[in-house]
Amino acid sequence: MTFAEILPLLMFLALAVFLFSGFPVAFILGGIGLSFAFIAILVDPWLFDWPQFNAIPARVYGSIAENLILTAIPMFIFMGTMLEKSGIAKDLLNCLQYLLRRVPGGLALSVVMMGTILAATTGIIGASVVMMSLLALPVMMQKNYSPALSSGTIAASGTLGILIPPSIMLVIMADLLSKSVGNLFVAAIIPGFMLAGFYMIYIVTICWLKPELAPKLDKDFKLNVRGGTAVMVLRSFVPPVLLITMVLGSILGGLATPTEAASVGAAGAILLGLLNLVILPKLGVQEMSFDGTENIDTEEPAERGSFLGFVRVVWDVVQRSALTNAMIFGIFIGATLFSYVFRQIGGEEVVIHIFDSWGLDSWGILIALMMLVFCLGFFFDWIEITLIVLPVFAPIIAKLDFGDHVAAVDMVYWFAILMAINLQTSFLTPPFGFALFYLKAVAPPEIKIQNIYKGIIPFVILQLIGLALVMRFPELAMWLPRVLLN
Amino acid sequence: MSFAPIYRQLDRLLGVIARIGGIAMLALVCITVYDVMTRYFGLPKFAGLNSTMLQESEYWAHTILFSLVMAYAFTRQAHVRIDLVRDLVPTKVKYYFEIFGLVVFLLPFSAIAARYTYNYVYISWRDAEVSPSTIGLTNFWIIKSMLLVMFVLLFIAGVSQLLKCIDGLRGKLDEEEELRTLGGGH
Repeated sequence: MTFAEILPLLMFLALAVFLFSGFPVAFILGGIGLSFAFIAILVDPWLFDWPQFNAIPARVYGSIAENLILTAIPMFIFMGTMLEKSGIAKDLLNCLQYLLRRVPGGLALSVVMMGTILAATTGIIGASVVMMSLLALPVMMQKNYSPALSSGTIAASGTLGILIPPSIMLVIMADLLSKSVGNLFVAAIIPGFMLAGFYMIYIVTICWLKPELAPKLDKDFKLNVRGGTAVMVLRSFVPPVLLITMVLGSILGGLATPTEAASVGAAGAILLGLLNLVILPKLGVQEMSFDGTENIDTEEPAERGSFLGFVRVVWDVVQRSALTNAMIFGIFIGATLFSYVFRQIGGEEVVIHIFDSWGLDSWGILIALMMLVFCLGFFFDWIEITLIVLPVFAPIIAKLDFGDHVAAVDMVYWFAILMAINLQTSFLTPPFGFALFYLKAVAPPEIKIQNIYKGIIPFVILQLIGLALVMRFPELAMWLPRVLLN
Repeated sequence: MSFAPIYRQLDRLLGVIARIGGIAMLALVCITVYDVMTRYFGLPKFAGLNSTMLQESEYWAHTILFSLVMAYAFTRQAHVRIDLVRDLVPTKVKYYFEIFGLVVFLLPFSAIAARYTYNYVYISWRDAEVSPSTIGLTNFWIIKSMLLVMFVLLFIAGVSQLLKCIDGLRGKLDEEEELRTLGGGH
């Protein structure tokens, strides 16, 4: 093999090594892309030459700036952050905890439900995990829940957001694979809720078999809210459910594009925040809280009922979501340059050649890719994996053929869903699971990292079962889009 | 002599520019909602506006948003770092890692990208490029120049970070500044 032939492999190796230097991923991707372009110029100007750098702005503009689908991402981030800061999520969690107080493992179950609902509003993992750790974990600790069960439930439920639409990851995957975002959203619904269902069945079963993991709640676990249970349920469920229906309904019904739906969601979240932070307090409605438990401090604004305070909250949300958005698009831009140079120096042929030389059939390739993604998940986050792996492997994915198992038109969607379920584990698998770090950062000190590692194992197994099921029965993902969208 | 006055000014500049990006986010939401209203609820359009223009304004707003916030996000440590190995080394080595990353990756990357984006913008301006759709927006060089601004700002953020690291190596940063420079601590 000549040096030019192993250059793409060296490029990957360099990426793997330098990612661990702790320098921001976005700039490493761009920097490695550039360095290898220079090396290629030195080795062989036929491989790469200066004028090809003109493709940098053209790519960034053409595939990122000009892309109307990606415009949905900042608005979905904004919507999720706004809901988090508006206190609506907290009310909802308290209400669920109250309603499920008699069920074995009720507090854990309420976290799964909350995670599912949050997943349907946002798709920002960090926010969901941090919020639930702040709100639910102290209550669970106070009621003597097992630390492993509590932290595992929160980490796993908080990561449902990347699968259940509207999910930022699915937007990016659809864009990279040139498929419809709407279809991918619909395909993810059943697998997403199936996983949530698995979590709940697991929690109820384990808490019923081992009651010491989740002791029964005492009688005085009550919410102090005027007007009784019905009012409480109404007040905490109606706003988020309305918003979810508007956003998801318009996408699923094929009415609006994801970008349009995201804007409605963002505007709706501002209105709900206005309702919860200004209008209700002005009308003298009190904040919900549990009797006997101290009000948990949650970064929420102290100034309720003042309009100026609300404007400040919105501006804070704008800044936070702008930073998150910049982080995602930074990696996007770096990965665009990386994969451009990788392709120019013949990386695509090398990857295809390697896979061919293993003599794998479509199933073999699929399983190899899934194992690769799962292993990458030990170290990296979905953004890096999706943006690096998908462009590189896209030509291989497009050539897969599963005969009667999956129809050819559905194949790429099915693959994307499999990858999405798989990537969920990337948040949970140590040593580098984002959800675990977020959780540890805000958890009470009595939660040890060992508790968290122990707690997530059953949930990772459940996710792998989910992955295997969707692999074996593609209809789990493909049935709903066919019925809803033909 | 510490570089603090220089990098503080640079960071302040990036912060001010990022606020404009934040306004673009609000604009993005407003424009898209307005687009939805006109399309599905029959809200009238202002004279001379059409759907194509609105949709193009949406991605214009988004491009302004990420272009102007990108560099600021670096000063605020919002960009993902993989700290697994770096956490094992002493602070001094972390500074060397960071300087290496800046000199080998970020600074050349942003400089080269800015250089070639300048050509790209210049051609768009010279040819008075307009929307590919006949009823869309004009003056496309404006939005393309946002990418140039982004790479230039990234270079500035890189310089600011380099100065901070040099100060850090010379022991001129206190603990809090150090955390802000090196990030980490998930």
